[in-house]
Amino acid sequence: MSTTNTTLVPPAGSPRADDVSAQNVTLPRVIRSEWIKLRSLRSMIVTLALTAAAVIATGVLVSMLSNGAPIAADGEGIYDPAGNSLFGATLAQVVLGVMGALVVTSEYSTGLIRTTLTAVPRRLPVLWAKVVVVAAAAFATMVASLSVAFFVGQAVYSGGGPSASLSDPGVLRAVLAAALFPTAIAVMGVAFGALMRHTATAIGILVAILFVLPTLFETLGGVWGDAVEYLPSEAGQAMIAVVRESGDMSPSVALLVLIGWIGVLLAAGTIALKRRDA
Amino acid sequence: MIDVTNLTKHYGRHIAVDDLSFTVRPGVVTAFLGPNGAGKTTTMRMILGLDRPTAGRALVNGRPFEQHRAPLREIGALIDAKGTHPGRPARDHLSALAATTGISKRRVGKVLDLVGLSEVADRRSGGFSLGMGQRLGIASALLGDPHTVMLDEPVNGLDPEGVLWIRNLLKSLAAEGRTVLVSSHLMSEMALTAEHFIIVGRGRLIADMSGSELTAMTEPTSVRVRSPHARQLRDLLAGDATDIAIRGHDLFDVVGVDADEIGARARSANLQLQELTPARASLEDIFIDLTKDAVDYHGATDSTNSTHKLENPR
Repeated sequence: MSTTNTTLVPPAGSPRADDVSAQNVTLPRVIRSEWIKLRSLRSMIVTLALTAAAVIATGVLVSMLSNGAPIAADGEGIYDPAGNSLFGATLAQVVLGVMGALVVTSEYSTGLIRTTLTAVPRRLPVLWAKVVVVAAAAFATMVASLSVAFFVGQAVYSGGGPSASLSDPGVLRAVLAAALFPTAIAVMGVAFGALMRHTATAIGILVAILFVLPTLFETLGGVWGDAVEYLPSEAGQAMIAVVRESGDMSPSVALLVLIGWIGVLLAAGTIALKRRDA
Repeated sequence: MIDVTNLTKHYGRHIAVDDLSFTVRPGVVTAFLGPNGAGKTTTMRMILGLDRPTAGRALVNGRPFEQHRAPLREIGALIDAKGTHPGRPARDHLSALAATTGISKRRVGKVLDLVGLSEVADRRSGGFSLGMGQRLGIASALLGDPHTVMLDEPVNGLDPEGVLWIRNLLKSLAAEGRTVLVSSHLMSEMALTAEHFIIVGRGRLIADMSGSELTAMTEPTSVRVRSPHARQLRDLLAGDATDIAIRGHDLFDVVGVDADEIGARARSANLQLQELTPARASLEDIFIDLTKDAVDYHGATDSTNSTHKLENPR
């Protein structure tokens, strides 16, 4: 460490402070910093609260609509009471993906990134900290809201048709997967944010991958059609579904596919963050 | 201490900073001056590691900035008035910054006091005026009690009282032995505050010297003469002077003859002198003169010739 100025004696009342003990920058400290940033933005708190409300409302609504006259989750006559009450996860993926992107891109649009990177000039801890904080916030929101959606949804069913319980095969896994999938999309949002830096571009590409590519690949058919299940949205569905069709990707393979997406995107994001001028 | 060596930055074919070398020493306020577009901000961004130099390097307190383990302790910087999220309260902004190096909540409160934002600390910074935003930026810069303070155009948007406050703050920071580098495109802002001047234009170093060295760079532009025999003296000097401007019945300014010569002639002609003052160009005039070739966009009127020469023997 530099010792150039250690002999200076500050005059009284100067900004040189007795209570400044700047310590080394560590990942836990940067995570704490990013957590303060997240919780101090009203828009972030509102987004998380609305996500939770939407997940619960959607889950309960789909359960009510499918109660007695079971609707199929995928339109092919499959009755999946657990999947129905977890339907809100599909909605949450978009909102949380956008939130993940904004956590990075809003720093660029406001100029905050320059302040942030002056405090953490090695840069990469900032990205890891954002991933940790966004993932934790997204996962906690999803677990909490999905639990409510699941139990209320199953309570709706218990009067009429067959219902699911957490002890049924695959159900606990489905609930966790329904929480993990939007969390993964939120982390992908962070990575796209680091890659693109502009909110509209990052969100546009995220939405295109989630909703446009599957349709496009189906239309192209052939090899493209076979590749559809490796897209994040399809892998997410495969991970969540309790009642599965033969030929569907297994949940663990689907999880690996999502991890692969995150790994590649984050690797690209780190290179962009590290190499490009801020 | 900031050491810049052969620092160069190209943006495509545009050369923003061109082989710039200088050292900023502790203990005095150093002004970093240049017209708009001279490369001041780009240089500061490279010192902070925000931009990667095309060539050369910048060291902060002896090493590249990103190698410091407690960066906020080494350098406190304000790069532009933004740098905060408008939706986040001032205190939370500073707390988040402080958390990266484990700086206490008390210190956050203290810098808020220091910049005069304590009363609005829990308001979102988006509602701040330009001046308040600038103060928040300065609070961030002082948060880590840094050895080096680097501010880019800090008086932008400040009211006269704020400008005075900044001047005193900069001087006291330097007096405490810190390295203080402050950029501006106006010499008038810095002439009273800075002791050392680094002047750049079109990315190149034009001057790196103290205020007195800068002043000494130019010949006296005119000599002011006061005498009850003003008319006779003017006649004596008329042959050699390139210009004589009458300022009053006993007062005139001479260009082209130096003070020694005027004194000698007055003496041999037995004419009494009441005042004999060589006038030097002001720092501002010197600055405008030094940078006039480096200004990208000139105004239609050439102000450089009319401002000094005879009119301002300060």
